[in-house]
Amino acid sequence: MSTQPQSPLGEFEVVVLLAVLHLNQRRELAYGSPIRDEIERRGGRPVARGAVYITLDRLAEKGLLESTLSGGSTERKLRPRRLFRVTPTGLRALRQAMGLFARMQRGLEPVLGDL
Amino acid sequence: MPTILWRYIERRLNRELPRDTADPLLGDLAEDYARKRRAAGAMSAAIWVVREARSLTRTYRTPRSRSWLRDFAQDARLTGRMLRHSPGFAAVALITLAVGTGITTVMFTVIEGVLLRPLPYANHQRLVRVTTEEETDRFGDQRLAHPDFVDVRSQSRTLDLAGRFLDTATMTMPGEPELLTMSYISANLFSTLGVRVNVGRDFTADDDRVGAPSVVILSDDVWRRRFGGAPNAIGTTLVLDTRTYTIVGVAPAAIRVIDGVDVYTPIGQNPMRVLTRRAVRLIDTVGLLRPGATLEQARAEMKGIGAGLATAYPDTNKDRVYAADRLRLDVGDLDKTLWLLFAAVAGVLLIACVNIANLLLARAQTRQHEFALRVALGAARGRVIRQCLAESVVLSTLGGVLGVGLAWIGVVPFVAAWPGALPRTEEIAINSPVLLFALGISLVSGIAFGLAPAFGAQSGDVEATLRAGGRGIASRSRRMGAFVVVQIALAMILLACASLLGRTLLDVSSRDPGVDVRNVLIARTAISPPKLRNPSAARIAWQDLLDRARQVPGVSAIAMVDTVPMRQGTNQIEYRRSAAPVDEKQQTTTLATCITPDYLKVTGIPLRAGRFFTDADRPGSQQVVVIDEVLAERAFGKDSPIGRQLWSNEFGADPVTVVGVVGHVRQWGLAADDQSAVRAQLYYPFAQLPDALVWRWSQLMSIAVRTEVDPETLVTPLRQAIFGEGRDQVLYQLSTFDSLAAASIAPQRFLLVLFGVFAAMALALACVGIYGVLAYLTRQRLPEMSVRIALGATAGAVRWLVLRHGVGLMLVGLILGVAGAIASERVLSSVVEGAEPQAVLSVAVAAPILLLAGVLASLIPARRASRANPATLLR
Repeated sequence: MSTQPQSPLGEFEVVVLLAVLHLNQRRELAYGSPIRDEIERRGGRPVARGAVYITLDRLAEKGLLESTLSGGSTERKLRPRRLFRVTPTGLRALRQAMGLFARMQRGLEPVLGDL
Repeated sequence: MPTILWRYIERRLNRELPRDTADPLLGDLAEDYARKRRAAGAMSAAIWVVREARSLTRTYRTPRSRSWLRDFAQDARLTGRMLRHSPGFAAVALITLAVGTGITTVMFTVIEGVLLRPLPYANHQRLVRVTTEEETDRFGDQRLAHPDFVDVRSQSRTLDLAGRFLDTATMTMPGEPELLTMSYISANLFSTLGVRVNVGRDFTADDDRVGAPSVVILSDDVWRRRFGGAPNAIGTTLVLDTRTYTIVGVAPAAIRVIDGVDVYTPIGQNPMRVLTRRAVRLIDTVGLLRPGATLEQARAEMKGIGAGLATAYPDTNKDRVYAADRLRLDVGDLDKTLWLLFAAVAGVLLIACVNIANLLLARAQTRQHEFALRVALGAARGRVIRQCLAESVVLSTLGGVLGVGLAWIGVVPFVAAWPGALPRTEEIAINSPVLLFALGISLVSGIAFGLAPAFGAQSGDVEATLRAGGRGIASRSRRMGAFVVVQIALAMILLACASLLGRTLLDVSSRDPGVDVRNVLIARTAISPPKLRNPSAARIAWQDLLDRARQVPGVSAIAMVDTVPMRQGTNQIEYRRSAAPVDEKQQTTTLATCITPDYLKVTGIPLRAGRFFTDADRPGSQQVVVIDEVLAERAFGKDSPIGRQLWSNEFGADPVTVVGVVGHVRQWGLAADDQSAVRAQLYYPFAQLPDALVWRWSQLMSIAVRTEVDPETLVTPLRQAIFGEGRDQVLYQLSTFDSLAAASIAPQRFLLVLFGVFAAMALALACVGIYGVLAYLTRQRLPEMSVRIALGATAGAVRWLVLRHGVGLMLVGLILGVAGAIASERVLSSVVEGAEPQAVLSVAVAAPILLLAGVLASLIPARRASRANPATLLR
């Protein structure tokens, strides 16, 4: 994709990217259901399935995620899995976003408390 | 997962999502379901998965459609606000559009009803007309002789055939005598067409034979008019030409489309001698394609059967070919006229659209800043374009709705004003195809005039626009200039057409019909049917009828005539200067009119030489004719024709003697006569008509009555005087010479009015266009003008600067318009009788009008420019 500065990531985009990164790091399969589980488990609240999938699509479109299809099982009615991986661009974008957060919150610890 | 559930989810997702998105998603759902089921049981897993699927489809569907809708609603709101803020612009644009779409819709409504709509017969898609022609004579009679019809019907494997032929009959019972159009039809005609007899019954095969009880089916019109639309009219009797018929049914009104028949009777009941002859071609033949048969097969089959008949009956059928074609309404030249008018109104609509495009373009200039700002603030360019389009589409749709309203009001008077008979008028109505059309042209015109400013809004880069403060006008002014050129060209074409029609109407209405048109009543006349069969009885009946009519107070002269000047119907015969037959190609033709001696007195035709007929010209005396100036000149040149002889097969082997010369009468009507192929005229006395022809001629006769009072006031007394003892002699198709003369130029008058209105609208719109563009450009150039004035330019020089721009645009438009005018004049004069294209004249009329109007429209902006005040503008 282009080397032009990306439009800044939305909050949920950051969340989804982080969830995929977690699964990648743990060498677990990162596809729709586990990604959603990861977000729900860490966030502690239910997330609409559609929101997750649409965000995954958008991130893949922007080149921040890449995806491959792997074969399906009987339990999946022979439907393939779409496995996601964070790309280097995605990593850079994530770093930028997190960096912005970190810089912005610096000095506000007394107000915001321990995150 | 239960199959039903899985199917449901699968279908739902596949409908909303692209395949490659849906597949992994479905897999995930299936997997999660399985997990859920292990944890919580089948029931709650099923409920859960349905909820998931629902929420999924909702998320995937709504963002797109809701945002599209939201955008559109927003656009519409913005448009509404814009229109409210500039009510002047809104009013001008809406009125222009409403009028443009209104008249276009009216024209389309007529075209749809008359030309495009399928015939109202259930079988219309499979109906064909079977015709026959002589190979050498492409314009001959296309009907079939009855014996041929019977043969074709029995031999055909692809078609079910039905035939009919027209005649007239005088109804003497019940009520007042009236002459009716009677159609002899095959018993299966209605079922072939797919028309159902709603009241009573259809004919059966049993009715359709000699000796069967006499039965008729009434037309809807006669049933309502003469029988009060009463169902119990079925089974009662009526008397037609002394024969008593039983009414068995009423034909539905829709059947009238291809005929104008009053009563139907089965053809097979009538053992008329003409029906046995192969040389008499009377039968109009329609066929219904049998299941599986194609038109091509039917054509080939007809050709084959025709060839067989030609071999079997060479005397009558040699060189005669049979053909089959789709059954459609014969409208003559009408389709050309209608499409021409449609082109004219489309031109007006186009001018209107161009005007609005210009208005929007000018506004887009002022809004360039707004658009650039919006793009800079993050609006997608597509979004801005869509905003422009939404404005114009909302505008044009509103205009279209108003236009349909106008069409609704206008279509009935328009059809009523149409000169002559417009076929299928009862079917002309604003219906769903018409509404679709109106919607279509509204959308198309909206998009068309919206695109210009939309691309104007998009083109160029934002930064430059924002910085320049809206001064870059070169390309836009060029585009607006092009619009003006188009408008002028279109207006020019319409003006030229109107001018051609104006000249034509002036010309034809000043022509002398050749007869004194004042106070002459014309009526077709039917004498007592029983007397028709005996020639001498018929002659006495006619004489008696004339004598009775002459007694009516106010009648000063009365005569019989078969072909009335300026009314439809002529009799053309060949004539020769010697007894020897001539080659068909060199045959000379004249109109022949059968009259009684007082005809000259009634019509006021001037006698140029010799004498007219007297009562002394009778059967047995010398056969005499009177000719008009045209025939005299054609046949005898400068020699005196009096006493000379002419031959014609119509008068038998012996020659006829010319005893007089009279003035030419414009028999074909004021407009058409001068261009018609056969103009020469010949008169012969009814008294010398051979006995064999008296029967047929008596059915065609009219009386012409010169009156001392308003002819209309004599209609009733004349009717009463003529009824006769049998109360079976009637007058019908009444008119006056005055109205016939007016009717003969009614199409010219009507088209002139229409084109006059269209041209005036085009002119007005074009002027608004010129004014708008110049006003806009002047406003843009005001700073420049101020500088010029400050540097010493006179007001006159500045005024000229603006005027020159306007005049330049007009000249380009005029040149393009002339080319269009020449082409459209040619088309117009091919449909309008009496019109001679003279592009130079039309241009000479149209160009100054346009130029003058254009200069006037330019003057206001020019004056404004010349008054530019450097002090205020440069401050």
